[in-house]
Amino acid sequence: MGTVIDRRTGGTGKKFTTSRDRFMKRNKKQIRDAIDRSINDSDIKDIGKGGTDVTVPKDGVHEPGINHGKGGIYDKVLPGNDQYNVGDKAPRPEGGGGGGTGPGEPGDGDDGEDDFTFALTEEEFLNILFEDLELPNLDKKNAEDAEVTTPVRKGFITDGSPHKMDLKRSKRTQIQRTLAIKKPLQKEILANLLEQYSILSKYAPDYEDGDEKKYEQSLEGKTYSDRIDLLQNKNSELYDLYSPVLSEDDKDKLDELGKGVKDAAEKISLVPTWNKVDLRYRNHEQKPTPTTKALMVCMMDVSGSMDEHKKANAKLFYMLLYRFLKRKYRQVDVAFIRHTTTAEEVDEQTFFYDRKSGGTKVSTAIEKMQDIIDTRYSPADWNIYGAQASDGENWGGDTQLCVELLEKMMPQIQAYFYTEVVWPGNQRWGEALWDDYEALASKHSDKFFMGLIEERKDIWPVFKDFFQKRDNNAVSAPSMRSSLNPA
Amino acid sequence: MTEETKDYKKSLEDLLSHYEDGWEIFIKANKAGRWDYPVNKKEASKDIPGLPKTWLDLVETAFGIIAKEKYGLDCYENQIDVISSDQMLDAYASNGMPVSYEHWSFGKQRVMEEQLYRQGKRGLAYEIVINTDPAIAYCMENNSPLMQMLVIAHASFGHNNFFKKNTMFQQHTEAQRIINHLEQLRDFARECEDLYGYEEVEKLFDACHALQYHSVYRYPRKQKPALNDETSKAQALEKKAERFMKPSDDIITRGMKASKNFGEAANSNTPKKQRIGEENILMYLADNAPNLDEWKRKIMRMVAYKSQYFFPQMQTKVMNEGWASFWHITLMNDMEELGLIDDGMYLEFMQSNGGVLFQPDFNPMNPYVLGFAIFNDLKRMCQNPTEEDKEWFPDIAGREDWLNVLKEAMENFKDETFILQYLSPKVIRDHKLLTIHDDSKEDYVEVTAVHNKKGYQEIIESLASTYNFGGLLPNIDVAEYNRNTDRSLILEHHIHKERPLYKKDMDEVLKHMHRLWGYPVILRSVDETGKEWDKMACPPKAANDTGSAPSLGSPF
Repeated sequence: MGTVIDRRTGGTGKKFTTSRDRFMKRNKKQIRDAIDRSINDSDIKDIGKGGTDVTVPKDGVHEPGINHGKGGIYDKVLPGNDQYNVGDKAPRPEGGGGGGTGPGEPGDGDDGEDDFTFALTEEEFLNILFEDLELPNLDKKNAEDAEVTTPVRKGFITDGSPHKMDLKRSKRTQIQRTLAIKKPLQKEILANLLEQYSILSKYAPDYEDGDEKKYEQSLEGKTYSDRIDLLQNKNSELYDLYSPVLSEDDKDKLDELGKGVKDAAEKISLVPTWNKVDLRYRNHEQKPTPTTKALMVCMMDVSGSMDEHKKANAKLFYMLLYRFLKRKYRQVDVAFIRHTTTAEEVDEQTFFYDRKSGGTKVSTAIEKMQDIIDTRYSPADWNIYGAQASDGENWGGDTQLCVELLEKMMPQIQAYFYTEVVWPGNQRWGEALWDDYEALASKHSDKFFMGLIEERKDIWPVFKDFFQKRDNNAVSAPSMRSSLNPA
Repeated sequence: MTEETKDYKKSLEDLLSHYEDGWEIFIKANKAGRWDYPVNKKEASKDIPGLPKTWLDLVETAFGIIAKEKYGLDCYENQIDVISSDQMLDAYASNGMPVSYEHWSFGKQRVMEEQLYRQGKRGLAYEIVINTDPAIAYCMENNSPLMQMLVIAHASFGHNNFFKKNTMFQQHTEAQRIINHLEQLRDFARECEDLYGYEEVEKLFDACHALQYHSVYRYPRKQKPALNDETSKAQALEKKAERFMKPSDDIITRGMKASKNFGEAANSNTPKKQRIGEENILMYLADNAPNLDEWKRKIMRMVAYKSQYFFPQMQTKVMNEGWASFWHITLMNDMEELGLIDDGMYLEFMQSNGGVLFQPDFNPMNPYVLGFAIFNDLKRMCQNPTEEDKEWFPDIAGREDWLNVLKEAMENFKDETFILQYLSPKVIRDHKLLTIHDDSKEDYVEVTAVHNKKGYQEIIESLASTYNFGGLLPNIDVAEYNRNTDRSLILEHHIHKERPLYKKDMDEVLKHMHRLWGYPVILRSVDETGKEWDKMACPPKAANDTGSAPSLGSPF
């Protein structure tokens, strides 16, 4: 009879996670390139969902081996011949050029292996996608009065809630305590028993001087309770044997000693096995953790000039941004503002899916953002970012107001991202935002970023450009921040 | 024979009498479509220990009775693991072994198999069985009950018996040790990764994998100590341990020796050195590379051991699959004769069997088909010999004990010799075999033998030669080690039928070898007469050196 084991519940596909990670690591550059290519073809809303196929060139995954190449002589034996006879000649069949094949390896030339396609999980995809991106100028702020604390182990305490009780520790103290109390009592019992023994042993016919000492020595090395048990048995044995011949005096002594034993034993029995003082609880201390809190204000022009094409690209940009923030940062608030000639703060759903139209007054959105900063998010505690998407058209004269407002806001925020969405080759010059913003961008090159999206394929490069990891030394604006951050 | 027959039938009756469904239990499970069909014991048998508790277990036990008592098949204990398709893909990526070290190539293999499977380009095997003791067979969860029966007969008795009795497996593998060995390798590799960084270890495995088919001893070197003989086992281990302990070649003393001998070697006309002729290249590097860390040597030896374990599978594909197919057919036929399976099940079996033993015309021979055909024909020769058989196989034709004839054939050969020995004219005619001579110098191919009296011998020899090592893979061995000069290592590729090496890959392999060896590695392609056809080297300029003159690039 053999053994049948149902393995299906155990470790499905887990065995190769490490090997898979290593394979991906080895081909990181190729995978990254493949992701960059694929992001243009996929729905950004569901990016990475349900696995994404990536293709890496065969060179990256080829394992060289010792094999035959093209050429040489092969005498092939094939079945099913009902038409050929010895001496028949035929042109060499396509691709059958004497390719030797080793086990599982291509033998014939360069085209043996195709480029290698496989599916990335959503997790892997997003990890790689956002791996080298970050919010620029992100400062660690507010370590002291941060709300977030992490529990840290800190020794043991004698009181606490039951679920934190440490059984091992408690048992240890319990053993210590009972031992400490019982030991003197056991010693007392032992002394009494030995006394009894020395009295009784003297009645033995072959008694020699010092016999009781020898017996006492023979007990050494045994535990107290073992010694007590042995002595008690021995004594009662001897007592049964010699009781008729015992002198009155000895009888009294024995009784007294017996009473002492009984008393001490009673005391031992009263020692509680578990006492409240034995219990030990794991202690945790709430340690404040420095947190980086950030606010991203997303502003989108929803006026009449923003047609479906522009709006769609702007939304895709924000969706990407939203997924990026939610994935990489735990403490990020996102505020959504949409504007026509007036601006309103809306929820995510409305921002992404609701329709509206009208004229354009960009400054209203910037004012709204300033309002949010002033009322809810103190620049001292928060890393504040603004992201604005617009087609560049604005109410005459309003642009100057925008620049002024932004200039005023600049010291309070970490970075500002302006995305202009237009039809390909149709960017408007002159009255558009772009020109005036350019001056801002060159003045605040470390925190004012601009990108132009004409087509869908521009989204990802612009996004990557905005959030690429920057060398912090090269970009430094300490003066502005230090004024806000006295520490 | 009759008495035996009665015995196994009685054993089966005894076994099945304990169950409520009795003789019908296999049929009922198939009707229910469940291989986890409940096997309810009769009230009176409830307390009898050792009775199979699951349906699969019962199948295994029933086949075991027939295999052992009727046919005397000697098998390892069976372990049957039911696995999901994901786990089957896992198994693919580790050669079916339940234990494996980590390496990117296994990750690649895994995603590749998965992709092929998900795209429907490749189906999954019904089973994988590995040569261990006990023999572990993986059965897919979505096999039908009948399929599970077929798979158990095929793997757990056919392959299992082959693993245990075939001489190649006996000489080259230790079924009891392999899992343990792989665990040791995995753990040691992890340890090394911690100590030396995983990139270092990965690079080493890359090199080992590049040499994987050239890290085996093709012929058994020494008498393997019997595993139950504790003293010889201990001695062998001690000897092995000594080898592992051998201090790595100390660079300074070696260097001194080299420079001392330097003048002599250059001046005196030293007689031509004896060829080393070592085909286990990885092992040679592990043992002789001048400056290699001990942990690298150890990993190389362990990987070579693993390759050695898989070597017989490569050399006995036809026989192994043929034998397993022969037995699944035989055992299933027995089941049908005994009435343990019904006509519907038998039809399903024939259909599945036809899928496995399928041979498209003018395609290379399917090893299942070829192996089965030869074994089956051997049985026929014993039972219904013809005049032709008596002429070709005088020792076999008409023998009464066909079972022994088959067992002898299974036990003592590998594919190449098996075909030379046993491929009969009848099988050649049945499959209408022909030989096509394909010489890349010509722009046509030519038929040189067909299935007639004149062609038989050539077809047999041609077919056999496709299964010899040189027919499968380039035959390369270590020829010389110029220990006293530039320490270059000379390899020789013995050209088989004018076939060249795949140079693009070979270049990479040489680089790997050079990294391990530390000094020039030169590969010469030579034919039977010793004429050199081609020469490659790493570093490439070493190819220009004669190999005996010291190069300026030496580290001293």
